[in-house]
Amino acid sequence: MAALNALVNEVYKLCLDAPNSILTQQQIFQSVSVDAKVLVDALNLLLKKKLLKLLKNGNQNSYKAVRKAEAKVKGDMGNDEAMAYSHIEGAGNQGIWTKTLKARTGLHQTVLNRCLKTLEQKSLVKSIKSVQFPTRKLYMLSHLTPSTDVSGGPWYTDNELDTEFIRTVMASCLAFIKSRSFPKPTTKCAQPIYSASYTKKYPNVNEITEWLRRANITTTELNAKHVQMLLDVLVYDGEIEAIPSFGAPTVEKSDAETSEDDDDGKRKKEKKGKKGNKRAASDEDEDGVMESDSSNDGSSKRKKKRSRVEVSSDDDPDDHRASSSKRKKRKRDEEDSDDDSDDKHKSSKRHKKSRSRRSDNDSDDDSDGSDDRKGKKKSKSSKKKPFKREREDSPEVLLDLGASVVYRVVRQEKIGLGWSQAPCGRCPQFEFCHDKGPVNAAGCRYYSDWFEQPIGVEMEEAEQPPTP
Amino acid sequence: MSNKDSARLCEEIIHEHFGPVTAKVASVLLHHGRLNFPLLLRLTGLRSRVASLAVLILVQHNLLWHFTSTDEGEMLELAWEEVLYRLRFGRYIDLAHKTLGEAAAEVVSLILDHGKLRLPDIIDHLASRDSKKQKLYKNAVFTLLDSRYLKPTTGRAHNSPCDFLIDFEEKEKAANKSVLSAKQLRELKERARIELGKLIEKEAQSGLKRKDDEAMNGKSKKRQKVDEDMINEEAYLRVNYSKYDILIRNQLIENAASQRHNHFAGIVLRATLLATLPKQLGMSDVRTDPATLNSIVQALPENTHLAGVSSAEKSSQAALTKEYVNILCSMDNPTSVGRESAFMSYIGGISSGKVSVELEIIGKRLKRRVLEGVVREKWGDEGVRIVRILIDKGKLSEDHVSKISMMHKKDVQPLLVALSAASIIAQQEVPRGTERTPSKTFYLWYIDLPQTYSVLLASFYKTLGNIIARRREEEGKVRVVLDKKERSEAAASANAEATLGRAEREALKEWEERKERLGVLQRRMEECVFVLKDMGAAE
Repeated sequence: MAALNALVNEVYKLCLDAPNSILTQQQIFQSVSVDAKVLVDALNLLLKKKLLKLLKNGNQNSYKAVRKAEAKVKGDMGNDEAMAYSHIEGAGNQGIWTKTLKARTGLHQTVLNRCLKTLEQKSLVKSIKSVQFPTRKLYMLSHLTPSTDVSGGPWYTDNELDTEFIRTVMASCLAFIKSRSFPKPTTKCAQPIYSASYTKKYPNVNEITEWLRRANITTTELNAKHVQMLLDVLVYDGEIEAIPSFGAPTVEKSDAETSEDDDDGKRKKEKKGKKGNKRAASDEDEDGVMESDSSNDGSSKRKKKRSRVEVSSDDDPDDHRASSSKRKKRKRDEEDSDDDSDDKHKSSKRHKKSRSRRSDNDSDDDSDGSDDRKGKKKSKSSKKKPFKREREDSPEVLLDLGASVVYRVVRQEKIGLGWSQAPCGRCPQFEFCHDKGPVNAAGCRYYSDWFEQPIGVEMEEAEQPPTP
Repeated sequence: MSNKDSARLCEEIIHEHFGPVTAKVASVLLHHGRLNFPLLLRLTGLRSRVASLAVLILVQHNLLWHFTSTDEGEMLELAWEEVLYRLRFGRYIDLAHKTLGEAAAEVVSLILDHGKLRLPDIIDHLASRDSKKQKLYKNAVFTLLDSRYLKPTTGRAHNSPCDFLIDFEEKEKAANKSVLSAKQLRELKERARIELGKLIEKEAQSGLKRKDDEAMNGKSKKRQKVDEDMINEEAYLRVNYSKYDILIRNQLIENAASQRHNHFAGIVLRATLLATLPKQLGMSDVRTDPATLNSIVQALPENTHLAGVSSAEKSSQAALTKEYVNILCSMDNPTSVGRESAFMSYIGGISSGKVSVELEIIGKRLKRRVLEGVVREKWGDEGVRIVRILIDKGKLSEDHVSKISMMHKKDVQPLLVALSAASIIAQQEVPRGTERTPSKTFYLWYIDLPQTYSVLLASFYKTLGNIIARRREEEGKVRVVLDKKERSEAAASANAEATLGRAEREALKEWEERKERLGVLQRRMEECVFVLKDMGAAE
């Protein structure tokens, strides 16, 4: 018996030390030189004590060592509880819904309830609530913290949207943007503004996030994505506006670019028929992206565009197609100005790097997938030539980054709203009011009160012309 | 179409301006639509003579269309939109005074009082004997006519434009015996509209006589050959409201630019509008004619020194003007959002150096500001946030609204319900399957802007109606005192106030104050109506 105990200990330790605490049956048999039958006994004993866990992978059995404390916990459990526990464990930090749990385990509701109750009493599991489904009761292991999907991220405190917190952070964002939006008042002008070519110096999301972090406004970790949400709300509030950072200076340039591209497309159309057609179409698309960047349908188009960027950076079928078509033109260009093209070439390399890094985690689009294939087919026929000039300074590349949008405070135009000054604007009986009804303008008490009111400051302000 | 609230407002206005009998006639016409005279008599219960006088008054003041059709006889119809212009008369006179001087203001005021007048009548009223003054007023009328602040009116203007269109179509159809296809009908309608436009344009030019006027013998009775560019003494002149509306609109736009950017941006915008003012003819223009940068610089008021654009060290006026024009064109935001927040745009690319003011875009934006103002007043900033999200995103479910607005669902829900109860937003049901049970239906919220604006406009009309009704009531309270004052004024103009008792004087003072308050309120309300009704095309 003692020999068996020793063997058991040895096997257990062996498993525990293995990577991931998993060893296959073969590995165990090879590393322990005892009679197979005795070893099997030892393994069975360990399995019975729940110190080992049997994992089946096809025909092969492997064993996973379980820590003693854990084993003790599991050893104490009944079968049902163990089953429920294993499912809860499997759900990780996502938690598992009681209904799903019931379906998976196939236990009766009352049985399951009892199991969960005992497990909770042992403080092995805890029940949580999901932000997405506030009515669902989820269970997860007690030592885990719920994932952001479940807890809702930084904007949630105790499963409640923390509006106060949001308001505070939003106000400080606004204050920061405000501080960067206007130059200091001078004697000549109380409300000076920056010229239209200033855009690059307004803050973008990343800068705002960085500032929030440094200003110690909150202990909660906020990333650019979270801050973006706040900024979107501020845009909807009409407090700030989002403007592309390439702004005015490149406006003319980008115009010229697109027209050049269009020309190219036409030329190609003449030469290569179908191919040229496609290129021209895609050019049009680019224009569309440019224009409707932050409008309603911007998101879908952006997606498309992103995937296109990816294509061009990975295997570059797009580029070759374009470059092959532009070869002729390029030759001309090179003859004209060698230096210039060299410079561009260098910069293009830099650009390419950054682009490919960006596109790594982009997901591909189905519809564009087919496009890719077509592109690749074509690229086979065309020779490889690493020239990407026309893509480099096209605005879409610049537009793609979060950093390409900067924010600025808006002073909104206001219409003096006479209605809010009239008693009718706030009258609770407005709908009910009728000339021949019990509530009517002639005998209206709100008007009588309004006559008695001293003339407000607000009214006088509205009357004054805007002062320089 | 007039609705309940606008009809009531029209009635109140006519009551205030012309008294109860005319108001009664107007009210019947407003609520019953077009009527012939016998029916009007029956419905008003007035005597024939009184009713016909009322009708005459309304016709004289361009408020009533009368149209003789072959099958119906003479029909009367109230031009309710014309009635609403009467609320702006004070402003029109003020604008005439500011832009063209004292004499012009007097002329405008006189014509507004009388609806339409011929030149000799005007001169008669204002300066019957003084020949120096006569010349002054003649000149004033000439300037007013020449710059279209006045326009001549003819018998055509007494017909509803709609009738003209229908009549034209009928005649064309009769001439063309075959059955017209849909396309031909469309073309016919278009032709009718163009024809009407031509007619109106011809009419507008008939105030000043030209040499070639002979050729138009259709209206030859009021066109006799005299020297070129003389005031046509036979032409009845009325005030061209839309020209004044253009001035009001330009002021609003300038104020908006001042608030949006700064004072100087407003000045530059005003200069641009001034440079193109002679060619701004109606409120329906999408944008002004292009103005060159040079003309803008020239139109800048004297002794203004532009400043306030930081990065521009160059201090020349022209350079600064260009900076401001760039800002007003939203050159830093070449997206569609940027274009919607712009005041001007370059015509034919930035290199052309020509800009025009985007009237329609500005109008749309100001309309939204009014909507936002109303929502903010009633439902706070959160309400505005929701409204703006819905305008931007289209149809959204409650969950999405709460997610995008970063507000709690339990806060969003009552707001949405309140907004929809006030007809600001609307709801669409999308059933998930064939069943239409509420639990299996998506409820999407959206904003139908034209609908929303018309709801707002209706409440504004109602409020205006209330203001006028209240003023009448307040006046009724001091009627006795007012009458007494008038009598004593007539008797001894020297010391009219002295004949009144202390209590009476106090009552009078109170009435004056209330009248002023209501007047100011009415003017401000009217401005909201102006933005919603007259600015920008319908969205």
